[in-house]
Formats: sequence, C-alpha cells, structure tokens
Amino acid sequence: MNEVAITPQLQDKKDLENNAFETIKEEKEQEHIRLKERFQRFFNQERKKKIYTVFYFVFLAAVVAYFIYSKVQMFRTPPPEEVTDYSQYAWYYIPAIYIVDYFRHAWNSLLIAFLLAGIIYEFIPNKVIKKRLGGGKFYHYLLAAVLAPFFITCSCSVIPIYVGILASGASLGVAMTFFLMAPAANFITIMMTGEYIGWNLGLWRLGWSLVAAVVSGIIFDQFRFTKELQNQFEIRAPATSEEGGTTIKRLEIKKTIHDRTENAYTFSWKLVKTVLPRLIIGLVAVSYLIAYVPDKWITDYFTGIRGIVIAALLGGPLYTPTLVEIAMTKSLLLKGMDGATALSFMMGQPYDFVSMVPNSKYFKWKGVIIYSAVFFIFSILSAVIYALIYHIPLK
Amino acid sequence: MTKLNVIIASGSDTFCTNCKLTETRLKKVISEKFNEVEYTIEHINVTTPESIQKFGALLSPTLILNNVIVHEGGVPTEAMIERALKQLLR
Repeated sequence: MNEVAITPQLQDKKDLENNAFETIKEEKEQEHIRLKERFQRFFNQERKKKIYTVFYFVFLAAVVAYFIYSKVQMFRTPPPEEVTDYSQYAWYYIPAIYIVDYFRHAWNSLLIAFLLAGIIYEFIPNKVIKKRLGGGKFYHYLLAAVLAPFFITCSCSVIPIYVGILASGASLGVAMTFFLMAPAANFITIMMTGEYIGWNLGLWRLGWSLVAAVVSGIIFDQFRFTKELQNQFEIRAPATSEEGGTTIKRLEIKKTIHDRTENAYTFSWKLVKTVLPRLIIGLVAVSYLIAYVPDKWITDYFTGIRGIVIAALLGGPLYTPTLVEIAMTKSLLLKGMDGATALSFMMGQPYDFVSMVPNSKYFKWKGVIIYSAVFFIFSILSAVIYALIYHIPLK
Repeated sequence: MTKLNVIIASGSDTFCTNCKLTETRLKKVISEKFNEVEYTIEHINVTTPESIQKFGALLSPTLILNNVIVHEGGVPTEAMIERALKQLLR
C-alpha cells in the first residue's frame, strides 16, 4: 500500500474539483426549478380545464364506441344466456361472484348511464320544467310525464321543483304526475332495464308508467279536497317586485364549455358515489336470495296470473333501489319467472311504503292511496296485456 | 372594503350537499381573488312562503349575491362565480 502524501498542490486540485461539482449541482437544481416553473406556466388553470374537457369527451367517445361495438358483436353472435347455480359455492363467496358477474355484464351500460346523466343534467336545466308546466290542461300532464325522466334528482331537489311547479300555477295533479314519473322511469332506470333485461320489457315499462302516472294525476285533480289542498299551496310569485321593496334582478353569467363539462362530470361522479354503495349492498342481498330460493318456488309463484298479482303486491313492502331491483328481476327471469310477472314487479316501484310517508305530506293520505291504487291496477293490467300479446300462459 | 351580501338558498331547512359545495366554492374564490370583499352568508329555505314572496319560486341550490340571482338549480363552477363577482363588484 503506497500512501500518497497530501501535498498543498494536490489539496488545491481537490478543492477545485469539489467546487466544479458543486456548481454543476447548483446549475442542475436551477434547471430543475426553471423546468418546473415552465411546466406550471404551461399547465395553468385555463389549459388544465381544456385538458379536462378534452379528456372527458375522449373518454365519453370511447365508452360510447365500445358500447356500439359490443352491440354489433352481440347482434352478430348472440352470447348464450348462462344460468349460474350460485348455491354450489360457499356462502361467503356467493355475493362476490354475483357482484363480479353483474359488473361484467353491466359495467358498460352503467358507465354510459352515469355519464349521460351528467350531460342531461347540465344541458337540460331544471328551469325548463318551471316554465312549461303552468296549467291543468291534458297536455300539461303528458308533458310532466315526458319531461320527468330527464330529471335525475335527489329528493332534496325534487321538493323545490315541486313547490316551483305549484307556484308557477300548475295543478296538484300535474305535480303528482311529475313526482311519480321521476323515480319510476328516470333515464338511468330505463337505460338499465333496456340494457340489462331487454328493450322490449324496458319500453313496456316506460310506456305503462307514463300512462299510470298521467291517469293518477288526472284522477287526483277530480276530487274536491284537491282544490282545497291546492288553495293551501296557493303562493304566487310576485308579479312585480316593486311592492316588496327590494328589487330582484337576475344575472346571466356566461357559461363556457369547460364550465359545462366540469358540472357534468362532477354530477356524474356524485351520482356514482351515492348510488354505488347502495347498489352493492342490494346486490349482496339479491345474491343470497338467488342462491337459496329454490327454482320450484319461482316457477310456482312467479308465473301466470298468480305471479302477476303477487309481484304487484310485493311492490309495497319491497323498498329497493331501482338498480338493485333490475338486477333482481334479471336473476328471477333467468330462474324461470315469466315476462309478464317481471313487468308487474317493476311497475310496482312507485308505491313502496317508505316513500309514501314523505309523499303524504304533499298529497295527503288520500292522494297517496289514489296513486297507489292506480299503479297497482295498472301494473296488473299491463302485465295481463303483455301476457296476452306474447302468449304467456295465464293459467 | 366592498360589501357583499350572500344568500344561499336550499330546498329544506337542513343544508344540502350541493349548497355546501356552493358555499365552499364561493369562499375559496373570494379568499383567492377578492380579498378586499367583506361578506355575510345567509341561508334560506326556498320552499317557505316568505322566500317565494320575496324571490319567486327558486330551485335548489340558488346563489344570490347582493339581491341578484346569480345561479339557480345547480352548483356554479369557480370560474362562473369569479365572472359573476367581477360583473357585480365592478
């Protein structure tokens, strides 16, 4: 080992090297900071928004394209309907397998439904409903029923819409039609019924819910107590704001496409966050039901005229989120329930006991009984007509 | 100091999530870009007769700034709140 004595010259050289190294390091750091700043300048608030917007539309286009592609594929080679016997698995596997199965079939339609819900929410504003529904003519009921599916609203915003409709001069019947139609056949429900169960049943459901909602609205308006009730709600908007003292102005803020997309995707995301947990809990319950209820019960009790009546009656005590109900109907259909019973089962959605309580606040119990009866009669009637048309034996 | 009177209208007496979101966005915009503004926030329920008497039938949530209805029936984005404030406080 030959040690090198550190001479002063050598020490200087080393220092020099160190210094050079330090400067390089510093330069690199500064370069890094400069790059970072440039990056931040480039991705400023405006550009970020543009990127989000573009990404949103690309994502939407991709989802829709895949949807069309899978439709074409299915049209060419329809996949066989397989019936899985869930009871062969251990009890703790059943929900997991069922949920995976469900999402494998439904993820694309679910995604489209949620995305389009956001777009509809943003591009068809709630204000439309207030302007158009002021009156008690026949077409107002029809309009309420036709418009309602486009308003995917939570209960906290349905009530202001309801009061808004009344205050702008609509009759209680029109409000009721809207109230019944919004949960029974909103956009996501129709989309999922059509995609997951079949468009045939989906359209039947939509059409008959519409008829039932309009009929209950019209019948409700014929009673005398409705007029009395309406007088209670007779709160008109101020014609001129001068009498009140303070003048109320409206300011129209410019809305760019970025604002609209931001609103649309926040709405979709919020919807997913509220719906998904309930859907999964519901699916767990449905999976056990499907696994352990013997097929014989379903073919015995859920077919023919007996099935139709039982299914219509079940609508009352069964309070299920619509998406869960659709999954359940599909599974029951695979296990041997007939189409007519399925229709009657799905039509029974609006008159569950849980939503009766808040509704009774606005329509009183008489109103609740009227619409429940109308929907009950129509769910049986529609199912019987369906059975007659598609030659399902009524026994 | 400019004064700003904010009213956020909700569909019930309890404050809904959309109204809360409107409030947080408004507060954020004011603290970031309108520091000199002194504001008061008031909550109203749009389904009460008093509110309908005063403002007409509103949808939830509604943002009212200095007695001007700025946005109704949805949560405004931060950019929209900023534009509205610029127009109102000009």
